[in-house]
Amino acid sequence: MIDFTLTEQQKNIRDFLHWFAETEIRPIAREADRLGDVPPGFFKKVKAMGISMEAIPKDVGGEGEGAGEVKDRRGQRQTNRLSVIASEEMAWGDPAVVITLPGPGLGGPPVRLIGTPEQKERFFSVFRAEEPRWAAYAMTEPEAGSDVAGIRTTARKEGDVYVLNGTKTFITNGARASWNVVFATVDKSLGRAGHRAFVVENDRPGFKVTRIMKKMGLRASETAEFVLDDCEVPADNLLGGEEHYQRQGKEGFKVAMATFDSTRPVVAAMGVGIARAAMEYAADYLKQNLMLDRPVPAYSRIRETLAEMKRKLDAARLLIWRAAWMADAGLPNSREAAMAKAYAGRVATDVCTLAVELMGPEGASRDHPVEKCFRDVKVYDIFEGTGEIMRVIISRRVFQALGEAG
Amino acid sequence: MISFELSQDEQSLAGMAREFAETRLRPVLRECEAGRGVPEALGKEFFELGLATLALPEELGGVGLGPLSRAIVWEELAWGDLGAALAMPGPGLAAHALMVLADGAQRAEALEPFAGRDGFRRRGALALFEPGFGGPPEFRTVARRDGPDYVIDGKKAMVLNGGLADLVVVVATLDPEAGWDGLAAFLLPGDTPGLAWGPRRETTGLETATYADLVLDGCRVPAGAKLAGEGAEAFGRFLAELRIEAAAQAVGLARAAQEHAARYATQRKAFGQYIAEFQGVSFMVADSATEVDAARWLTWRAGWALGLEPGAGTGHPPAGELAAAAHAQALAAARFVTDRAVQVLGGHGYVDDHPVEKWMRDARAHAVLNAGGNPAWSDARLADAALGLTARPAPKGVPA
Ligand SMILES: Cc1cc2nc3c(=O)[nH]c(=O)nc-3n(C[C@H](O)[C@H](O)[C@H](O)COP(=O)(O)OP(=O)(O)OC[C@H]3O[C@@H](n4cnc5c(N)ncnc54)[C@H](O)[C@@H]3O)c2cc1C
Ligand SMILES: Cc1cc2nc3c(=O)[nH]c(=O)nc-3n(C[C@H](O)[C@H](O)[C@H](O)COP(=O)(O)OP(=O)(O)OC[C@H]3O[C@@H](n4cnc5c(N)ncnc54)[C@H](O)[C@@H]3O)c2cc1C
Repeated sequence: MIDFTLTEQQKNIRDFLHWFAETEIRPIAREADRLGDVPPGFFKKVKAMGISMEAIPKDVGGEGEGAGEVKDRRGQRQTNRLSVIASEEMAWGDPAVVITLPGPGLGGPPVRLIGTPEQKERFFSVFRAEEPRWAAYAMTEPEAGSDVAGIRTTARKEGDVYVLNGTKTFITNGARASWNVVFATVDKSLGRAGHRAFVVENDRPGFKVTRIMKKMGLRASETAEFVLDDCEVPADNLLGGEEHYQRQGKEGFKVAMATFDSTRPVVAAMGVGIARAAMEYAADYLKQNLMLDRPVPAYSRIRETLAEMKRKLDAARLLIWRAAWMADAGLPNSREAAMAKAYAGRVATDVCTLAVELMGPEGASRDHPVEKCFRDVKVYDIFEGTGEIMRVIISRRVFQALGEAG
Repeated sequence: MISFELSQDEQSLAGMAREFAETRLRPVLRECEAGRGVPEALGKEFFELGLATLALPEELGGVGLGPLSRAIVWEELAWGDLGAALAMPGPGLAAHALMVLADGAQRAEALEPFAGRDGFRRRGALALFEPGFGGPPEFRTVARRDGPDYVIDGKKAMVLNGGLADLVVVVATLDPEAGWDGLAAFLLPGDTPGLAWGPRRETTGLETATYADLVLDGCRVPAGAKLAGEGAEAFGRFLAELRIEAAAQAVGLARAAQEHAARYATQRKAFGQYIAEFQGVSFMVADSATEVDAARWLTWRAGWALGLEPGAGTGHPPAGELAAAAHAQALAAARFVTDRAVQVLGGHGYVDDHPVEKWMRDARAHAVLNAGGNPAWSDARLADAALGLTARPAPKGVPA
C-alpha cells in the first residue's frame, strides 16, 4: 500500500536527531569549519551527555542497529529508510560534523557485505573502545576517480601476506581511521576481475598519510591522501577471503559497487538536509527584511524562486525514499539510487546557490550560514559517483529495460 | 511506514486504464486531434468502463475512487492521449465540484441524468478561471442575491467542454472583497438564459478537447442552485483535488514522451552509432526519466494525503500544500520532458510522423489550461508555506 507516514520509531529518531543537530551540532559548525576539524572535546561531550551513537544509524557513521552485526536481516527491514531520514536531519545541522562522527563510516558496508564472520568481529571490535574510532573507504586514486575500473594500486601475494603499493586520495577520515578498506588489483590485465578489497590498518608499516586536503567546503571533514609503500597486510585481511573471489569470478568488482545502492540515497539525503537548512534560513532572513520599503517576499520573482526550491527538495526527498524503500524490500534499485543521487545532488546545489542569491550581498557573508551551505553542498554532486556517472547509470538502465520489454 | 507499493486494486485499475490507453487512445490520437473530438463509440466505451465517473460514489453509478487511485488512472489515460481523455463525455470536472461542494441531494439530482441510457452523450463543465491573471481569491464573477434567486454576472475563460456541456458549475464570489472566503459555486443547466458560450477556441495543444469562453450576463438561478460548500475551506479542498488530477495528467504525458524518446534513441543511428550512445542524448533520457519519477511521487504523496480521513496526522504539510507542490512540479516536468523528447528525435520529432511534437504542444497548453489553474498560483501557495505566511489555518476538510 502506498504510504508516506513515518513509523513511531522513525519519528522519534528524526525528532531526537533534529534536537541533537540543533543544540549540539549547529553551535560548533562555524568553528569546526574555521578549524578544519571538529573541535576537540565534541565527541567526549556528546558521549558524556549520555548520547550513544547507538541512536545513529550505521551508514551515517553510528553504530545503531549493531555495526558488527553479522546477520543480514531479511523481510521488512527498514534500515535504509531510517538511514535516509536520519542523515537528512543531521546534515541539516552540519554535514561535515556528521560525517566525522566516530564509527566505521563508508568502511562499514563492504565489511558487512562480504567480510567473513571472523573479519567482522575483528574489524568491528575496534569500535567498542572508549575512545572514538573511525574507519574509511579508499577507492579513489589520483588517476582513477569515476573510472573505478582504472585503479592502479597493486596487491602482490607473498606467502601469507599481501604487499600493497599505490596512492589513495580524497579519502574521508582516511588518516584518523583505525583501518581503511583499500581496493587494489592483483592483476591489471584481468580488469575488474582482478580487483580485491583489503582491510589495511593505519598502523601497518608502509602506510603513510601524505596530506590532508584543503577544500571549498565540508572543511571540518578530514579528506586524506595516503600512499601504500610495500605495505604488508596478512592474507586474512583480504575481505571475504580467497574463496569469495573464486566464487564471484569476474564479479570481484561488484563488492565496490554493491554498497553504492544503499549509500547513494543516504548521501543524497544529506544534500537535501543541507539545502533545506539554507532555504529555511534564507526564507527567515527575507521575512525580516525590507527591500525598497516593501517586505522582500512581496516580490513575485522571489516567491517563485522559494517555491521552486521547496518543491524540488520535496521531489528529491521522495526519490530518495523510493530508493531506500526498494533497498529495504530487497528490490534491485541501482536506477532509483542513481536517480535520487543525480536529482538531489543537482537540486541541493541549486537551492543553496539560490539561497545565497536571495539574500543579496549578505548571502555571501560569513555572518550567515548559507554561504557555508553553498560551499558544503557542492560535493554532494561529486562524491559517491558524480552526477554524470549517475546519468550514465540511469540511461543504461532505461535502455536495458526497453530491451527486456522487447 | 513509507511504502511505494501499489495495492492489488490499484494495480488492476492501472492495468485496465493502461490497456484502454494503449489499445483505444493511442491508435487514434492523430484522428481525434484532427477531428477535434472523440468518436461517439469511443466515448461510450470510456463511459461504460467507468472512466468518466471515477470520483463518484457507487450509489450514483460511479467507481468511488479516492484521489490517489484516480491519480494512478489519470496518469495512464494521459499517457494514452490527454486531449482525448479530456474530451470524453461524462460529468468531467463538474464531478469534483459536486463531490466536494454539493450536498447529497444536489449531487444526486445533478448526476441522475448521467446514470440514464443517454448518460454517455452528456457532458459537464466547470467554469472556474477568469480572463486575466487573477486566481480564485481575485475572481470578479459575482453572484448577487435577489429575492429567491441569485443573479450571476461575469466572464470565464477557456472552459473545458465549453459550448458542449449540459451541466455547468460556475464558481463566483458572493463578495469580491472577501477573497477565498467569498467563493461559492452554482449548478446551471447548459441552457440557462444569460449563459452564453463564445466560439470554440483554437489552441496550441490538447486540440481534441474543446475550450470556449463563457459570458454570464444577468444569469438568474434559484437559490437552490448554489452548492452547499462555500468559502476558503471548501475551495481549498476543491482546488487540491483539481491540482492533483492535473499533476497526474502531466506525469502521464511526460512519461509517454520519455518512453518514446528513449526507444527512438536505441533505434536511430548517426555518425555510425546509435544516438543512445551519445551522452548528449542519453543524459537527456536520464534526466527525463528522473523528472517523471520525481513528479509522480509528489503527485502520489498529495493524493495519498488528501484521501486520508480529515484530521489524520500525516507528519507532512497540509494536503493543499502537497497538491500545490505536485501541481507546479509535474506541469514543469511535462514541459521539460516533452521538449527533451522532441530534441532527442531531432527533425523527426518536429513533424507528425511521431507524436512527440503533439505531446510538447499538449504539455504547453495543459500548463495554462489545466483544471488546477496556473502553476504560478501553486508556487505562490508554496512560497507562503516556505515563508511561514500561511495566513489561513489548514482547511478543516483537508487532512493536516
Ligand atoms: C570531499 C571529498 C570526499 C571524498 N571521499 C572519498 C572517500 O571517502 N573515498 C573515496 O574512495 N573517494 C572519495 N572521494 C572521491 C570522489 O569519489 C571522486 O572525487 C569522484 O568519484 C570523482 O572522481 P574524480 O574526482 O577523479 O573526477 P573524474 O573522474 O576525473 O571526473 C571529472 C569529470 O569528468 C566527468 N566524467 C568522468 N567520467 C565520465 C563519463 N564516463 N561520462 C561522463 N562524464 C564523466 C565527471 O562526472 C566529472 O565531471 C571524495 C571526494 C571529495 C571531494
Ligand atoms: C522544419 C524543418 C525544416 C528543415 N529544412 C531543411 C532544409 O531546408 N535542408 C536540409 O538539408 N535539411 C532540413 N531540415 C533537416 C534538419 O537539418 C535535420 O532535421 C537536423 O539536421 C537534425 O537531423 P535529424 O533530424 O536527422 O536528427 P538526428 O541527426 O537523427 O539527431 C537525433 C538526435 O541525436 C542527436 N545527435 C546526433 N548526433 C550526435 C552527436 N554526434 N553527439 C550528440 N548528439 C547527437 C541530435 O542532436 C538529436 O538530438 C529541416 C528540418 C525541419 C524540422
